[in-house]
Amino acid sequence: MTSQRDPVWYAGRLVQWGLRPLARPAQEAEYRELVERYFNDSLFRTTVRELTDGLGLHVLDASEHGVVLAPQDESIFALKPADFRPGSSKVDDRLLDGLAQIAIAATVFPRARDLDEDPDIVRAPVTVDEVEAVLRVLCERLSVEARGAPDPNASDENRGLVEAWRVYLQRLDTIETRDSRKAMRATRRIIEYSLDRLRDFGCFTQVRQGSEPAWQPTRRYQVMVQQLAGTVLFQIARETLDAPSPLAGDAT
Amino acid sequence: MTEASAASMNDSGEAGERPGVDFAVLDSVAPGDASPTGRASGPAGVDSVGDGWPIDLTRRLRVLLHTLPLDGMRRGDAIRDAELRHYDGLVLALRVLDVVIDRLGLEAEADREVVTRAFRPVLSAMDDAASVPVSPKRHEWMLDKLLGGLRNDGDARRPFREEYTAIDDDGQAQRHALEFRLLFDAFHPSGRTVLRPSAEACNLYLGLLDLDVEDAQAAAEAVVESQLARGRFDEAVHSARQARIQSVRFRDKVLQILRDTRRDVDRVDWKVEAPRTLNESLAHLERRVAVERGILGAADERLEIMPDEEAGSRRAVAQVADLTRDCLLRHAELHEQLIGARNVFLDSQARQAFAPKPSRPLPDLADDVLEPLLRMPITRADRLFKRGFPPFAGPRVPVLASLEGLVSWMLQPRRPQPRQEIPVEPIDATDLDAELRRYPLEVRVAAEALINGADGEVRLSRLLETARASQAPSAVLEVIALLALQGFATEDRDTAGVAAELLVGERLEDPLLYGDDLLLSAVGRHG
Repeated sequence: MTSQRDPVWYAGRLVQWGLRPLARPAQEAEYRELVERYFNDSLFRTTVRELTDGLGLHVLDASEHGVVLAPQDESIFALKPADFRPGSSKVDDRLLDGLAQIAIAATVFPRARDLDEDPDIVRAPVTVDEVEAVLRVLCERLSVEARGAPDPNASDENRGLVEAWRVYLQRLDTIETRDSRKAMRATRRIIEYSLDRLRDFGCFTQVRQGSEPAWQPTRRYQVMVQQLAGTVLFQIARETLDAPSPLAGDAT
Repeated sequence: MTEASAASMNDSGEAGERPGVDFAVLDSVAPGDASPTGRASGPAGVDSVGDGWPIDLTRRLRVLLHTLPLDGMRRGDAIRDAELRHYDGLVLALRVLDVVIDRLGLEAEADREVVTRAFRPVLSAMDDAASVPVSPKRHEWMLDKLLGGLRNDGDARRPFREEYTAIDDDGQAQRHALEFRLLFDAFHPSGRTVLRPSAEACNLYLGLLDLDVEDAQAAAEAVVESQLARGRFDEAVHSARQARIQSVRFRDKVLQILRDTRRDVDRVDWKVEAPRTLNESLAHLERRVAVERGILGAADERLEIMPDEEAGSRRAVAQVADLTRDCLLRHAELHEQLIGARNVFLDSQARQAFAPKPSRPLPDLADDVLEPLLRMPITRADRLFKRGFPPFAGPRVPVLASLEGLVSWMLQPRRPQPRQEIPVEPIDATDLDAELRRYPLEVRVAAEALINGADGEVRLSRLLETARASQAPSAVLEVIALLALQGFATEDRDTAGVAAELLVGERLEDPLLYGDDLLLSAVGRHG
C-alpha cells in the first residue's frame, strides 16, 4: 500500500469496505492491508474511529473476517422500520416486522449465555417454523394470562393502546376464519419476508434442512446481535421493565 | 480413563474461564433429598463427607463426562437405520476428530469435503467387511449422522450438557451441569465453513499425559531423536506425528489467549497469567525450534548416507523430516504471533475501550426482550422498534443522486450491439430417415410420388383412399401416414417433406389408421 495519501483517505477506504457486507479481506488485498493496519497502527485506528463516529457508525468488530459496522441512533445509515417493507406504512405491519426480528434473534440465540459465545462458531440455521413457534408460544402464554381480564375497548384500539401480542394473534385469527391454511402461511410469511430481507443485507444465507428451507446466520449477523444485544436490546429490555403497566396511559 | 488424562483435562478446565469450558452450578438440591446416604448436614457430617470427597474425583468425573457423547455414538450403532448399522460410530467419530485436529491451524482447515475424502476409504472398508455394496450416498448419510452427533445437531448445536453430583465443602450433595462442545462449524476468513474441534475434544483425542504441554512436546521430540539415532525409523515417524500433535495443541493454547484478548481484554488475566504463559511459551518455542532443526539436520544427514536399497527406511526418514518441517513451520508462525502478543493486548485494550460495551448480565432475548415488547401497547413498541430495529439489519448505504452521472448516462451514445452470431442448428439428417429407411426405396418413392402428385393441399384420408385405389401396398400407405405425422409433429415440422395441419372435428376414415384427419401439402424438401 502506498503511503502517499492521507491516513483519512485510507480510513475512508476501510469504511467503504466495511459497508460491503459480502467483501472479504481474504479475497481483497487492499481490504486485508487496511484491516492489518487497523490492528497495528493506533493512529490509523483513531482516525477510523473518528471517521465512523462522524458518519454515525459503530465499529463493532474488526478481524480477519472483515469490519462489522452498525448504525448509531438517528444515523443516516440506519434502516428505518418503514423502509424494511416498502409500500406498507401501517403500524401493525411495522410492529410485526419488529417482533419477527427479535424472534429471529431469539431463535438464533435462545439463551442469554449464547450471546457471550465466540462469534466464529457457526450457529445452527433457523427455520420459519422455529421462529414462529417462539412468537406463538409467548403470545399464547400472554393470551392465557389475560383470560378473565376485560377485553380492550374500541377506543384503546384506536389509540394504539392494545398490547402487541393481541395484534399478532389477531392477524392470525382474522385470516383463520376464512382459510386456516392461509392463516398459517400469513404469520409465517411475515417471518419468511424478514429472513429474506436479512439475507439481502448479508445477515443470512439460505440453506436446506432436509426438504425445508432454512436460514443460516452469517458471522456478521452473529456479531451484530451479540454486540448489540448487550447494549441496545438490553436497554430496550430495561425500559420495558421500567414501563408502566401495559394499558396505563401512554396514548402518544 | 487414566489418572494422567484426567489431570490433563483439569488443566484445560482451569485455563479456560470461558464459555462452554467450565461447568456451572445450575441448581442446588435440598440436602435431605440429595444425599444418597441421608446423612445429616452439620459439622460432623461436613468433615466426614469432605474428607471422603477428594477434589480430584470431581475433576476425573468431569473428564469422564466428556466421553459420554462418544459413548452415545457407540450405543447409536445398534439403533441406527438398518443400512448404517454396520458402521462403527465410535471409531468413525474418533477418525473425524483425527482429521480435523490434524488440519487445525493450517491454511486448508478441514471442512466437510476434506472429511468426506478422508472417510471414503474407511467407510468402503467397513462396507466390504459387512459384504454391503459401497454407496457414496450412504457414506454421505453416515457422515451427516457422525458430524451431527459430534456437533450436537440434535440439540440445535448447543454445547453438550451432562449433569452430575458432587459433594461441596459443606458436605452437601449438589447437582452440577457440565457444558462442553466437541466439534463445531466455524467461519473461516475465506468465507468457507470449516470444522473445528473444541479444546476439550483436542485434549480428549490427544490423550495427554500428566505433563505440561511443553514437557510433553519435549518428550515427544526427544523420542524422535533417539529413534532416529537408533535406526528405528517407523517408530520415529509415529513419534514425529505425536510431536506434531503436541505442536498443534501448544499453538492452540497460545492462540486462544490471543483470540480471547482480541475479543474481550477482560477475559484474559494480562497482569500475571497471560504474560507468564507467553514468556514461557516464547522460551519453550526457541528451545523447540533448536531441537527441531537438530532433528531435521539428522534426518537429512541420514537420508544422504542411506543406501537406495533401503527404500522403506528412506521413506520413513523422509516422513520424519516432513513432519518435523511442518512443526518448524508452525512454530515459526507462532513465534511471530508471540513476539507481537503484547501489542495485541495493548491494541485490543485501546480498541475495546471505545467499542459499545456489552452490559452484564446479558438478556435472554425471548423472555427479557420479546415478551415485554409483546406486553406493550403497540404505539410504545413501535417507538422502541424505531431505535431497536436498525442494528439487526446493519448499515444501509444511502443512495446519492448525481446530476452529472445522470446526464452522462442519459446522453451516452447507444452502445453498439455486438455482432450477433447466427446460431446454426445442426439438422439431424438421420432423424426422419431412420424411420423411413425401414421401408425399401421403391416404397418410399411411391409414397412421395403420391403426395407430390396431389394438387396442392389434400386430406390424408383422401390421399390414402387414392393410394388404395391405385393398388398401392400397405407399406406405401404406412409411409404416407408416417410422412404426414412427421409433418404434423412440431419438432419435425421444419425438416419434414410434408406440411400437415389438423382438421378439427374431422375423423380419419381408413381401415388401417384411425384418428384426426390432417390436411397435407408437399413442401420443398426431399427426404
